[in-house]
Amino acid sequence: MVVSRWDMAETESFTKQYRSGIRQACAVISAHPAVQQISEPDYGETTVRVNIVVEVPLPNAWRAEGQSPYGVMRFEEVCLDFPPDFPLDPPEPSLRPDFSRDLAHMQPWLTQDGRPVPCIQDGKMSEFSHQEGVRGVINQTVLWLDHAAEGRLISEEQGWEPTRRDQLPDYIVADEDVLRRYVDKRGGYRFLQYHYLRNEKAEGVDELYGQIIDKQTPLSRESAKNIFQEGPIGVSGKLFGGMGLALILWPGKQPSGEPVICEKYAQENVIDLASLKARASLYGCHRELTDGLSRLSSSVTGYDQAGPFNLAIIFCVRRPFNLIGKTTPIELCAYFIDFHAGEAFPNGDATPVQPAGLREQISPTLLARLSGLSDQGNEDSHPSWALIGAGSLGSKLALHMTRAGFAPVSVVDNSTISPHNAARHALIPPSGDMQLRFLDAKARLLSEAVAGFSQTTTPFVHDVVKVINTRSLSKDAWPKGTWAIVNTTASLRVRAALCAAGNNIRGRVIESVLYGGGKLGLIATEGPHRNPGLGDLFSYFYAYCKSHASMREILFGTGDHDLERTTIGQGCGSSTMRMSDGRISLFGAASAEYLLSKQRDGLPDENGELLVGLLDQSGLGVSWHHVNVPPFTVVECGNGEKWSVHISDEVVTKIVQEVSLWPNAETGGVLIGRQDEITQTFYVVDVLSAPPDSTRSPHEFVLGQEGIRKSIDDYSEETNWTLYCLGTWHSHLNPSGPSGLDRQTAQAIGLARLAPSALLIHTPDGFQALLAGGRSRTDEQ
Amino acid sequence: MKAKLNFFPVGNGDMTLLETESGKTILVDINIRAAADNPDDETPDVATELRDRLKRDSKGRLYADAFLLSHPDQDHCGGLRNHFHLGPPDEWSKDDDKILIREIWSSPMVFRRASSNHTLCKDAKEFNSEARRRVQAFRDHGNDVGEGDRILILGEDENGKTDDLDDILIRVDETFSRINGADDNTFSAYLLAPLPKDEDEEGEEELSKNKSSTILQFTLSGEGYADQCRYLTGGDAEVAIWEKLWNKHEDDPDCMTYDVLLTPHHCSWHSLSYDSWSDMGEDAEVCQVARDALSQGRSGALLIASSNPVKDDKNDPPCIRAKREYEDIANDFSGEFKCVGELPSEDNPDVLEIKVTKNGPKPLVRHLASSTILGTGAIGRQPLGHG
Repeated sequence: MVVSRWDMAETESFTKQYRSGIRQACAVISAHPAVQQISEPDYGETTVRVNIVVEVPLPNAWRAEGQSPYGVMRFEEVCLDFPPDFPLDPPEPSLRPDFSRDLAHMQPWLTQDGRPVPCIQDGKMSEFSHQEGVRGVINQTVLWLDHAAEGRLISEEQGWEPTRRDQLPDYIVADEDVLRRYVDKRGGYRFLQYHYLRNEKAEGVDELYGQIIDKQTPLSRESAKNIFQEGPIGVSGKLFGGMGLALILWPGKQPSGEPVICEKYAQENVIDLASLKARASLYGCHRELTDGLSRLSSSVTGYDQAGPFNLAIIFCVRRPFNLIGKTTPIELCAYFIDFHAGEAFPNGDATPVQPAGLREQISPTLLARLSGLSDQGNEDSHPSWALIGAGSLGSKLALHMTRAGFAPVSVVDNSTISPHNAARHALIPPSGDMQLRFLDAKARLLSEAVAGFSQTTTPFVHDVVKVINTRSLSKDAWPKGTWAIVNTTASLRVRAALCAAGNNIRGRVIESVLYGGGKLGLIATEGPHRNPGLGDLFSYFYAYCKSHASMREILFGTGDHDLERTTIGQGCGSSTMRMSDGRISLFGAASAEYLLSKQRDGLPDENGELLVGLLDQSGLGVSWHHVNVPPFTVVECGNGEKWSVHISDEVVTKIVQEVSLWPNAETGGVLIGRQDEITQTFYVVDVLSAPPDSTRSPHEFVLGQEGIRKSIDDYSEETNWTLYCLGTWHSHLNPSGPSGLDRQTAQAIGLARLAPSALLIHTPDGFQALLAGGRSRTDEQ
Repeated sequence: MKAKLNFFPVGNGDMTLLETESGKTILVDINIRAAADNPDDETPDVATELRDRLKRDSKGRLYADAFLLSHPDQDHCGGLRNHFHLGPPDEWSKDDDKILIREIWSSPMVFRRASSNHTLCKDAKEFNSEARRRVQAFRDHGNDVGEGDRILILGEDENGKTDDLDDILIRVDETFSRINGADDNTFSAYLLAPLPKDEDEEGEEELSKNKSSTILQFTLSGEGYADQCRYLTGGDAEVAIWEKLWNKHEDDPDCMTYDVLLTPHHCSWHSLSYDSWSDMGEDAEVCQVARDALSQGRSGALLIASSNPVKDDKNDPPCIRAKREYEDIANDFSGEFKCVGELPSEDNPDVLEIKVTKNGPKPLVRHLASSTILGTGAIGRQPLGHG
């Protein structure tokens, strides 16, 4: 083998430092065990070329022959062209001009002097060389030759490399999965609707951009005249818009019954109809192409508009294994061809054909794949969910989910966007005059944004409570099969309506809400059959925060708030809650991640759960505390009232423990929690022990007085009256209902305070309850 | 799993690891010199290279499925005691972390001939005791012995001493594909030598003096295809042995063909000639019959010298004249001669790896390591004076 040596042309344009860098690179290259020879650097006008000879390791028998059956020689000459900004950009390796280009991982371009360029690295070469240096470039080049020699550039492990089309200026947008769905065992073709833009760059040179619509269009002499149209757009005279058809083709089976698979990798070389037909034969679609083009030709015979019109042709090629990074072996190869009415292809096989790039249409599958959810991108693993509230948190959650391919099925919100929403809402206001359009209903605008991601979210511009309580609306907003309803309104009214709806609601309810200027966040997920429900979960959450000082301060701390606060948790929809867009995103992003993971792994199948997020001191991160909430024990009040008592699992345990301490006497204590007039529920989430002066006997428990009021007041103060005394509990030794004494006590308690109270009785058979009516009620009676 | 041959750079000595396609490891000879264990010494750290290629069992023990000692010379078993667990497997110690040999392949006849010729080194003696322990374990427990106690006897011993070991005995001219008590269809081995005891005293003495070694022709499958690589390995066997083998197999030489040959005795002239290279130089004559025995390469076969770099001098082994002869042999089938001590460079010899592909054996592509560029060059190979 001969390696030419270049003279060291002293060109001014290369600095001393540059030359020293090249010398260093050459030293590294020549240290490679496979490099047999290296030339002096040839300083050209803009680049520097170094020629090397690489010994490619070959299996014995091929080495004896001096080359591999794949056309790789034992000694291969490789050029390395160093760019002027080396080492910022790496040298480009190229191969001898007659090196076969019908190999995978070959760049679609040639060097200026016609040398093929191997694609030696996934990803950007410039990034790679910064990581691995010239050493990496030479290692990868030798490895590439090693693989090429054995026909291993394409491997099943890595996947089939599609024919490189990424450099092509013309492209077609399509939903690739839709096209692949046409492929069957029999082989065939279909015409689909197709729109295109034609930009005349120069005489006879067009740039083409097309989009395929998944709508089959039967083609006949009659239909043809309504299908093909092309006309100018604008006044330049160079831009044309057209409507026509895309021809989708796929191969059938061999005589043996096995599907036709194209195992040969071939560089794109189609230039005309003749080479397109040769391609079709290679792909196993020759018959399908002939049939499809014949149908086109016969259909346009009588059409009087001359054309030309554009036809997109997409081959769905079966490869022996999955494409790189995809879960399908079907490669899509696209081409453009112009035809005319009358005689479709007057130039016959010489009719020019342009290979086209294929851009994937934005689709939920594409989004899911890019989000790392490709193996789960189906409806079974990602069941449908519905959103309540399209405010700042809701809109962020919805768009995160949409970008992962899983937009909500519906969004309910009757508010319109106000200018101040721009500070934190995920939707982006348009510029200038178009801002008027922005001030529409949030639900509708969000739905439009989702549509841009090829997904559908039905907007319901209604009061949420009305939707909850109106069957004709709720059945559409939350259709059958709705897996979860996510409430982001932070509205106590909405929460109460959701609680009151009971099992009229389809799916489980999840609520995401922020507190204390975004210092605390909560994701609350109901249990199966809505137990624990939202009311239970929030009561539990308040008790949980009471026992964690940092959370207690944020949630109940008086600060700027009113002293007597009966409403807890201002929504981020409230204008009083001031926080940055970024901070809401901290929680919005987490809510989306939570939802995606639960869609994949399922909601807790026995319990509800709380995720309590606490902003860390830096304000940059959130630490999440996971709290499992077992179902609440529900006890209906026995004295003819609709009220019920919901008792948390922890309280049940505390009561049972206390009872077990007094096997021969009745005992009792004080119930702590919240009560809700709308759902007529006492939520019991804590108990206080009986005061020391209480007396216990087999027939009677008398709650003492010593210190009990102070304990209750302290408790309530600490939670800013969010949690308070609900009444009392005591035990019966026998499975008997409320005694006469119990009823008297209930009456007495009822007189003692305005709000209703509960009298809970633990018996060996379970709980019973009495409502102590509350003074206001008693007055009415 | 890729089948692979690994030739470790151990100077004038042998150390080869065969990895079968099923993932079994067969180690043929070792020569782990003290210098190789010294991190401050430039000698390649072959123990680490070996350990990197072995697997651990469920008890955390690094193991080789089989270890064959071709003959008991120091340059074939050096480092055995330091690096390998010898004795009952339940005495293996985690702290020592030595390599467990699941099955030993041993030739009593080779030992007998070696002992009659010279005093065995300590490692060889220990190997012999271990082999005896395992034979006794077989006699006591039959085939119930587990890994770490197994042994395969290659070639019959004299005077019927191995007659009761039928289950673990491989006779000369037998092919076996059993390893560590189980059949493996990705390799087979044909036992060519040690030749059984020659009834003629003179003939037997000649075998003893010719560095009698276990000679095997391995056949490995690659990437699911059978017979992709034949590897002929014969320790230090010298000219008379090769002559006898060729006389025996000349008419049906398939068992002597190879894709990879380990040139015997570290590329020694004594395997090709009865004459001395250092005494006679270019006047020394090749023994054509022995040469024929070592010339059965298939197309493109590789002839590997496990030796120091071959210099044009009076040295033997490695012997420049032997190298020339092997290169000449290689020419007949477009093969190639390679010296482990010279690859990729004499300064920095590295493990020569030949993988067995569906297209036959092929040297593994070598990369330029970061250490070559960023290594210890800055402190130099010798102490640097700083004034």
